Amino acid sequence: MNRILVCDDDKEIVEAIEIYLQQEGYEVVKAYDGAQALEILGKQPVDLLIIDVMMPKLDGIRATLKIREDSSIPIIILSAKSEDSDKILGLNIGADDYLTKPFNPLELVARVKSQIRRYTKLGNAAESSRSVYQTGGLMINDDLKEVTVDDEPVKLTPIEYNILLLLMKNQGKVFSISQIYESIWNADAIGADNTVAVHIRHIREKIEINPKEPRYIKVVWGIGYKIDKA
Amino acid sequence: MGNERYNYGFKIVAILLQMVFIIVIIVVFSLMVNLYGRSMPGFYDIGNHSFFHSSGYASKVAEEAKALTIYLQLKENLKRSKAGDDRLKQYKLRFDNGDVNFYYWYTKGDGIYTNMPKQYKNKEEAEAYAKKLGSYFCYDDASITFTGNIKRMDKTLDLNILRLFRQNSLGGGIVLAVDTSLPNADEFAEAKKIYETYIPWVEWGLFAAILAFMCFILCMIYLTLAAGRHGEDEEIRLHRIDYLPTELHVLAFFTYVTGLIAFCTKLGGKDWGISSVLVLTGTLVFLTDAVFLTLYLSTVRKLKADIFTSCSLTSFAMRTLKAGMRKKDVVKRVIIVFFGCIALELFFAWEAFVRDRFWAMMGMLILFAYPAVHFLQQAIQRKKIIEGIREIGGGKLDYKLDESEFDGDYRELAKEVNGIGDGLLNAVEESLKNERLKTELVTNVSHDIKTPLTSIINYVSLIKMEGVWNANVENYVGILEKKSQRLKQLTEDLVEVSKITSGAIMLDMQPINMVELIYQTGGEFNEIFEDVGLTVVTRLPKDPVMILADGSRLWRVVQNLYNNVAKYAMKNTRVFVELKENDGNAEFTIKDISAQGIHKSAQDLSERFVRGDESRGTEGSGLGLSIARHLTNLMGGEFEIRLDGDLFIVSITFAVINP
Repeated sequence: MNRILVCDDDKEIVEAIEIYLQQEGYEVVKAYDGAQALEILGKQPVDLLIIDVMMPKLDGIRATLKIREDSSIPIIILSAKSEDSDKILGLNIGADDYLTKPFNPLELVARVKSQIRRYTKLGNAAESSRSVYQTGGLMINDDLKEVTVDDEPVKLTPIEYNILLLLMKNQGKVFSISQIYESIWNADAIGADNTVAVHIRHIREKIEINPKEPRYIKVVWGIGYKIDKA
Repeated sequence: MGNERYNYGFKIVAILLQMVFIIVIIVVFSLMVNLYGRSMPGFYDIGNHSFFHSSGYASKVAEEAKALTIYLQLKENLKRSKAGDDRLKQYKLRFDNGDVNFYYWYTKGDGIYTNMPKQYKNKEEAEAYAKKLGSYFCYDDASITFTGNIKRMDKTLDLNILRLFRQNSLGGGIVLAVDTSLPNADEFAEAKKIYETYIPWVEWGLFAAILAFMCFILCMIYLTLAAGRHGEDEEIRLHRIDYLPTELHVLAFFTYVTGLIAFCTKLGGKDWGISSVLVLTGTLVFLTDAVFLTLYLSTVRKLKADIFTSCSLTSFAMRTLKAGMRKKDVVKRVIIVFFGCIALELFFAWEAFVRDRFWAMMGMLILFAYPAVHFLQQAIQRKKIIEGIREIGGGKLDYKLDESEFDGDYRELAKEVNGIGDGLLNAVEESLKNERLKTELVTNVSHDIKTPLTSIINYVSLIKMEGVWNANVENYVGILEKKSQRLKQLTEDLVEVSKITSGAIMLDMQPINMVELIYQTGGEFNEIFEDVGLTVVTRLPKDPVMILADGSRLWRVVQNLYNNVAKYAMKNTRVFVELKENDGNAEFTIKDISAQGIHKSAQDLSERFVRGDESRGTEGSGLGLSIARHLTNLMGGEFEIRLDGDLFIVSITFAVINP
């Protein structure tokens, strides 16, 4: 059973999160400011930390910096600050994920699961075959025609699979709609329309926890689509 | 900074040194002029101490030879005509007197003319005697050759001798000689004495003059730099003389120069010895230098202290006049100037036409020119002020007129215009500051709202998870969930709109393919539109249409427009999405039929918190179109809403860039 430390100065939020996590079978430890969280981390082993940013005594950003000095446990920041700059700051100082308030509790649970799976499976997931492509928790095995997200298999249609394979094979490269169309359908993109965009959205709905804030398939508006290198 | 180099000691030394140097220069110069005037040494005598090799000697010989040729010609003519001549007697006295140092021997075949002690019969003997005398010169007409040891620097010597043998076929020649021991007192003896006395001085003097000139320049540079400065402080120190008007300085200088010229002219009439000329020159130079230096350094100090123009009678008069005028009001001033000009013009006219005075004519012309210049200046200043007002009016609030470019009333005007600019700038800054504070407030408040909202959403979700057995309660919970989601959207939109309007967002402008973006958006909204029964008809160009925009912000704009359509368009109708490229602009249009009649004007619709139909809107915050408009404008695009009955048309236009 995995132990999760939840740290927020709002007790009701901590309790609500506790209820959701306990339903999924996690053990929850509670803290109400950054200092308490550090104290608990020093006393007992914890598998994942959910931490708020704006808290009395020690805020989430400083607490995260402190924890990262000697620990690599997954940290999910939960904050009312929704600016891009806040997210970038949180992820840069060592958080693994950033969720803005108010959040969908089910999305939080999904992200917790994803982080724990990756953290515990990270060592033995190193099958480096030519036909296996991986980024973060997303893996595609071209021999078996199999796609997994955090080790959970995902079912894709052949076209969706081919699009994902194209993007995974060329991580970091941006493909425009017509480029994708031409390489998947092997035809000229003269009659290009929404088709590719619709397929991409379907793939996103299947592999992303929150399709509106995709972690894997990124939209470069007005230019195309890409999957970032891990 | 140790400005010890500018103390009094150094300055006095520099002044004395430059005086010494200038005296040396002028004295040497006058010596040279004097000697050259007596056809004594030329510049090629430098380094030559022997009189018999000097140019002075050579020209003396040439002079004697010229006189001799005339004498010989006269003698030959005499032989033919037997007539006497006074000139002949003069020359005879000059050449054949016996107590000379200049000897000649001349023949043209028939007779021999000579003043040598012996009547040598042939040229060889005469030449041998000439050689013995030391300095000699021969011409042989049979072979047409010149021999001898006298430098023939003067071509007239050769020409004169050749002229003597014109139309001659009898042979013969001429021998000229000077006894270098100069036993008799004649012009040669005197010239030698002067030459040997002064030539060493000329050489030293020339060298000293060049050196002195360089030192003089250095001293002047030092004095120019040091003028007005003293010790460590940086300020310019002025002497009492510097406060005298500039005109007085100029007057003093010209008076002195006039006096000097008059004095020199008077002196020039008399013949002075070389040494007394030198002493006199030295004294005059000393005085002139003292006067010049005083005025020069005073001028330098004035320029340094920037009082050169202001410390003058003209400037003082002008200032007094202007100050007097400024106290009066504009109308009075114009009247005074007007009548003043008329009076002056009449005076000049009287002087010019009645009394025929030329200066009055000039004065009239200048007076005619004055209004032209004056009106031109005023026109220029007026133009500048209009430009300034236009700049400020055009939004460039920090535009400043340079007040020093204006005078009189225009300076007042320029000051006021700048004041208006400042006032507006302050007001704008104030309002920007307020807007920023508002944004900050909205952001902070929205953070505070989000925390309890999180609990509400979480617990509503927990209630649903636990299950409600009462249908009414289930309905209530559903409403709570919907409203809490709307509250969430509202807080986010609120923060965004306040950020956009206060300009607190950073744009990442990139070349964007508009066609691609519309397809991408279409993909996102495909099923949302299908759910509400809307059919999208898309008309896009086949080729990419590139514009410059921030991709994610542009997506936000288009997303808001699509959302708007999804919410307010009548079900089961068609939506037209079009992208047209014309005149270098890309125009994106989306048209739909509104489900409800719209009772707002097109402009109101994109203002904050206004929705097409206020009574009906349960979704959205009413900020969508406002955000879209502001973002579009921020990225340099145009945003337009048109209403045609129930047809709702939104278009955004961006300039196309070349790929």
